[in-house]
Amino acid sequence: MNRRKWAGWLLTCMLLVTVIAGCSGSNPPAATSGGEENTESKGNGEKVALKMAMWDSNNDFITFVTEKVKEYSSVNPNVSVEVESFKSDSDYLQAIKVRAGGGALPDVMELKPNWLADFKDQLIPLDDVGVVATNKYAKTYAIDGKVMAIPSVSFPELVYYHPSIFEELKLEVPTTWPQFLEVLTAIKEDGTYIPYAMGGKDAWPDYPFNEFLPHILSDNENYLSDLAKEDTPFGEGTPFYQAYQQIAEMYNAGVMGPDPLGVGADQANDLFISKQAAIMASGLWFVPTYQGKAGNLDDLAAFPMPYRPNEDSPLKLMMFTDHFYGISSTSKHPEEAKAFMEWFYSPEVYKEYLNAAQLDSAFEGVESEVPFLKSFYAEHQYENFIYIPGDAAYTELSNAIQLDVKALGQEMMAGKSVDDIAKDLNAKWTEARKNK
Amino acid sequence: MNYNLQKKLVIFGFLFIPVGLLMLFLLYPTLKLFQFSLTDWNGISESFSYVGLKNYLMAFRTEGVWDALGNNLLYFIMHLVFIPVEIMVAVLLNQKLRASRFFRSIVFMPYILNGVAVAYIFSYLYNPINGPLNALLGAAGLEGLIQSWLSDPNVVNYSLVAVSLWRFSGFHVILFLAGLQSVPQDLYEAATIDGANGWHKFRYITVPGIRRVIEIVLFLNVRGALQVFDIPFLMTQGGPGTSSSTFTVYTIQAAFKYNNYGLASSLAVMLMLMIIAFSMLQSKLLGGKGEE
Repeated sequence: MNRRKWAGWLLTCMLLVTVIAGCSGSNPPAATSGGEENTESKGNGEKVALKMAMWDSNNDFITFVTEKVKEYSSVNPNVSVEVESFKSDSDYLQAIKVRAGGGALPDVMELKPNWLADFKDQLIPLDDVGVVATNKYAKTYAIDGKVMAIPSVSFPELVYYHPSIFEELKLEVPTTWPQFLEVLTAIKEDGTYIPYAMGGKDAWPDYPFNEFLPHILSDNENYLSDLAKEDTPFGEGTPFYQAYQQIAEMYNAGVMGPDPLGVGADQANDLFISKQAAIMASGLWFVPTYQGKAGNLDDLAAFPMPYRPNEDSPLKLMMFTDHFYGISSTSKHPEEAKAFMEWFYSPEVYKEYLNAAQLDSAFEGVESEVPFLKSFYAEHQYENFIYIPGDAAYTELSNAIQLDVKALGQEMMAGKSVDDIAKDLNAKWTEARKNK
Repeated sequence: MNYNLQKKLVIFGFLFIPVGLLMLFLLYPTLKLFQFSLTDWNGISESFSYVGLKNYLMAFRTEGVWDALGNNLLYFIMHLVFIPVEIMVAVLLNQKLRASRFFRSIVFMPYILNGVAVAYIFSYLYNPINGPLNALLGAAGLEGLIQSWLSDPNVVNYSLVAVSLWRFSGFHVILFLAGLQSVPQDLYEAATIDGANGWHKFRYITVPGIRRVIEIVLFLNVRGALQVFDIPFLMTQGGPGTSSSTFTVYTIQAAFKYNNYGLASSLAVMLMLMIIAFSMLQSKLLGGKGEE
């Protein structure tokens, strides 16, 4: 009995010690509502560790940014910057949404232009950051008049092709939509190549058509925000309807291989890179991918999406601005983060960033040195058209009706008619506006 | 401190941690789920407002939810139809077959494989360009059967259900096999003496003998069919369009793609209630009879 008693005491004590040890530990500071508690020492010479989150599909670019930001410690020995990277934007978005919910966003975070409205409460205004003045697009993407994030790059949305195939089949580069369809049909009739490589299984590769065509056809950069002001912006006579009719014409022409919906984006890229397919549309970011797999750019050229019906109107080129960086409102070191951004976007550092990204510049005074881009600009006549995402009202409505234009593209490839899509969207849009 | 007090303290102390963990990671999130289902929270902003049962009403009124549930129903029905086949396979494997051990482990293999791996294997098999399945059909002179397995809205769900069957049937077979092995052999011997044939033995000895296992498999079927997620999400992301979306895929997209955590939470609550309701209904339907 005595032994049992002792054993009981021992167990009780052990348990109490465990519980007390578990309950104590580092006392979290009051209001740990955000960022990481990275300060190693307070007062003068305070050491600060900033967290920076980004995504990129290109591993080399991630490595470049990770290593580059470490150099900041030589400029400001008290501040170190640590990069957390993701391979895809969707994984990244999911992660930062969860963190936003928990008030644990990184100090500096990357954003896409169409996420800015969603995250505006999680960001601090950057109007007082010096480099904003030389950024070509920051003010265009300001929310309620405030710059909430700084865009790092801009780049054109292109239609890529193999010049050797065009030469072989004696085809001219199209500049209007009917010419584009003629080229695709000619390649189809020849039978050697798949005319257009569409990775429709993944939905997103149809964005140059289903997302961008109505926008560019409207000739109104604020087209998406303006949609939110109308009850029925999708019906006959609207840019949406006209663009989708054009797209349907292409999707129904059988120019995307035997089963465009059964092929994913990677496979479609491979079909194009291995010259089994003749044409595909994508942003400038595709060039490094192509070069990585093909080894060179000898058989790659591009033209602007020939969306216009005839040559009477100027051909506009969709320019996408991307890789925005903002500072989270829960960051404990906003001033240090701003100083870091001043350094990050200083011409010397930014130039290296741009060369690694192989995209076009978003800053005055720094030119991109991508040979492919330079020759594209030199060879084509076009006017720039800047992609501006919808405002908060548009985002709210499109989320309410679960509008996914890329999924609509898939449905069109599966045979759904434009009339049905327009009717359905108009009905849902009207109701969503009523319920607002 | 007397011995009883110490004993209680120890019991309380040791229970405190698991119960605490359970409350923290199960009860608290569930209560939060109920709370969010009554709000318009977008998942990002710090504030939200209560909207009553609006999310539940919206879920009922949204066509996409019903379409997704319809797809879940297909998984349920197909798995249900396969249960007799699974039992038959189990009966077969229960015989003294040559290499029956080998077959038993082969049958179970798909279940052990990681869901992501399974999705990739089948994405490759169904591939329209250089895909083995279509190539095989072509080689066998069955060109007429070649399909757009993952891209035809009328076919895609069957293709995905086939993957689900391939993955889970083996597990069901093993469960049935375990049930079969617990049926006493002398019952069969007695039946043989009484002149029962194979079907009689199956119908009057085997099936009642494995009734409990059938119940478990049915429960797993209801739960699995309602929760099916990884196969459609990884293979088609619910596409083309929304044709292969399931209830869980729809819920995930409502939350993470369309920033509607309120609606997504209400859908999750509805899923929970549906599973409970179906399971109760099922045990009621099957329950009363066999106990006597």
